Amino acid sequence: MAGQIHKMVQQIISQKSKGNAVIANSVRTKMYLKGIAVDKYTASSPDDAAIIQKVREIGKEFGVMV
Amino acid sequence: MAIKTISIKGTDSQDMARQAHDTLAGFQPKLLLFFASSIYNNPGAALKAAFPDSEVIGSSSHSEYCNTGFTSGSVSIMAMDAGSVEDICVRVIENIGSDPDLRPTLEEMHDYYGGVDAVLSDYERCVGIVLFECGPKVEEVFMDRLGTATDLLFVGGSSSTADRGESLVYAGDRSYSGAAVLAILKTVNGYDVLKTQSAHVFSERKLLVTKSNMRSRTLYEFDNRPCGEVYAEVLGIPQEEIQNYFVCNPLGVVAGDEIFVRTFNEIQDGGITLHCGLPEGTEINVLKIGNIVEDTQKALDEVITYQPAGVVNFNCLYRTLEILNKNQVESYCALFGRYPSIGFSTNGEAFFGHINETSTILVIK
Repeated sequence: MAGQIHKMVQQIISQKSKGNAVIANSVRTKMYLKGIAVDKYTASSPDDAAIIQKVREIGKEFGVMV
Repeated sequence: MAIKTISIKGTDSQDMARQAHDTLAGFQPKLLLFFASSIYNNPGAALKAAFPDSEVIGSSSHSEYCNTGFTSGSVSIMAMDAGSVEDICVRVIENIGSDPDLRPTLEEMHDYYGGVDAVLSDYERCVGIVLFECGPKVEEVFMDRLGTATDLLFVGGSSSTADRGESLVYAGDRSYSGAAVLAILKTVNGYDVLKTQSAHVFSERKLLVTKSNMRSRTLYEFDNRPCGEVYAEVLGIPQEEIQNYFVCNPLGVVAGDEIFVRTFNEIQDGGITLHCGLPEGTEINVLKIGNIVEDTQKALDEVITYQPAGVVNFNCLYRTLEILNKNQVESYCALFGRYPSIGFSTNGEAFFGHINETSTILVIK
């Protein structure tokens, strides 16, 4: 499997920002500062269980279930 | 005039507040934001007594900026009236070292403006200010929590001190240690927030933080190797010389076009302590420091293409010391003298997260 981290990150950004581009950019920056290098993950990035768990927890903090 | 900025030196806080009252005669501020040298006792209480109908918030400071001036032993005040700020909601979070839940307070602040949806629909006008008392050293954790509790932008910095006096933040007539003052301003004409760090990527090589202690702000490993060894490798220097490069080559989290600087403190306990914790999993670059005046001018001119009502500059104490050292104070202050502005030398800056060796700037339109 590949691309799950990318998919989860994009879901968090889109659900949290609800289409507001400024908030979307803010969420991306906040994720970087939480230790997720957003742009590093693409649709072909391998699924890393530890990172997936971390992204899931970040989603929960933002009130987004992924 | 919607914003007035003044710099005052008083014999004590009461004298300072009296001078402020006289200087601002006829002006009815809704908010007084001030940065007071730590030599003053209870400056917030004195200002609140002189301006009972105004919200009063502030921080102790090492040194102060006001318009073209740079001083120590003074109080810089920005007074904002209804022409620039429609409303203000101030809350104080005490005991920030205990990792308090910020959600109830932020909900309360959102509700003050009619709820979170109402606040977000006015996103272009609503902006937050955060003033930390620097003692607990938990700003990065606080900003992380704040960023999940609200989508509003918060900008600010951490208190500093002069040769004597206490590090404190102020709200109303009270002084606080170990606390953060939060204010949400509903501006009349909007705002801009910018930050400039005069730091640039030295090496494109990404270093992964594989072992760190966020709470103690200690870094142990990059890429599963001792961080000092990898840092020396990137700079191409002997490992025993790394301390000589700490100031000129800090670390940075690069998020798109934005750099969030983390500066070194000292080698300790098998690691290196920083002035801001780095969570494991973070990718960083080694940076190099540039010309503060040139980079600040570029940053200001790119964003402030209009005549602002007022500008608040949270400028890192490291940067103040650097411009003093390089005899650049006059040219630095001239940049801010183009606008009604105040600022102070901070012990850390806030914008999305806690940052070092940076200037975070709030521009009120």
